[in-house]
Amino acid sequence: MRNSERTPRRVFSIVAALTTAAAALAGCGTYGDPCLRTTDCGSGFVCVEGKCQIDVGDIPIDAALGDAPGTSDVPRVNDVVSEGVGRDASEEGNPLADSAGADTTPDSAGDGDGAPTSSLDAPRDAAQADTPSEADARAAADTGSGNGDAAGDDVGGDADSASVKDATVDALDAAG
Amino acid sequence: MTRWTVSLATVMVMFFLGRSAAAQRLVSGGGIGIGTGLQRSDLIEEGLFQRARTRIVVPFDFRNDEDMSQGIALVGIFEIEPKVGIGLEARYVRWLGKAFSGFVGIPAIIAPKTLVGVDVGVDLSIPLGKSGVALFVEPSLAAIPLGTDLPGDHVLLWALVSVGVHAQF
Repeated sequence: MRNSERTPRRVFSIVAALTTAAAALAGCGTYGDPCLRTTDCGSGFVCVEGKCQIDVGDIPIDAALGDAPGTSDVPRVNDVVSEGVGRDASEEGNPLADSAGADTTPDSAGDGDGAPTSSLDAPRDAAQADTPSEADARAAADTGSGNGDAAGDDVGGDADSASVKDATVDALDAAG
Repeated sequence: MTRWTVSLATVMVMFFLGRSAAAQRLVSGGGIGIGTGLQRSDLIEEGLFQRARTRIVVPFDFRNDEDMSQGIALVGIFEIEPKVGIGLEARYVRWLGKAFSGFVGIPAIIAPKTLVGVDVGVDLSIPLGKSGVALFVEPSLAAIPLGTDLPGDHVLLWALVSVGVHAQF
């Protein structure tokens, strides 16, 4: 009785040992290994012209390229901001917008570059500040069309209403 | 109509009551062995051959005792090293005496990927006493042109030798 109970166990042990040995003896079939059959290569490799090569079908190269957020979005954001802000700052005759946006006051937008801020500087600053979000850039452009205050706030990123007032006072002082 | 009915009934009675002829008996045998060898393909860049996979073979042969000179065989193929695989081979076997036979067959590996080809070989039996048990040595050549396990349009050639024990049932 005991022997009959042990027999299946022994068979199972022998089969398990043989399976383990076969698995241990099985070659990996890694990159560059010679192969004559597809199954000579390990998982993730295929046999191409007698050598194991990486199976490119398993690597989501396309997905990685498609998911790159900056490459396709940044140019569009720049374009939108340059068109919108540039037009708002230069075409509207609002004196506040001029002082904030920078036609009359040197560096009134407070972008810190020390150079006279032109209508071309503002979009450049906006692009740098708001590149991650196209929606932000659009909001900035839209808001900027309302008045120079908001435009300076969003586009310059560091020109609030107080600085606009200061810039206006400075401009008047300089003129007077 | 009556004639057809009687004829049909007679045939059925004869069919069900008649015994099979004692002279016609299925002679079967089976065994187990291990084999390996060389393989070649035009994909090989270094040398002429590589070592073929080691395999366990489990042959079963069947023949009619009225014509013991020929029969069919089915061979289970279990590749064990360096990779595993399972296959089957169907053979037509021609015996040339008690200890020597030749065969042609269609070997097929069915998992994990497929291979199908043709092979030819001989089988030398060395009897071990009068019990019907014998050692066999079986060299064979195979050409494998089909299957999903082949990388592209290449033919795989095998030169294999298997040894094992065989018994008549």
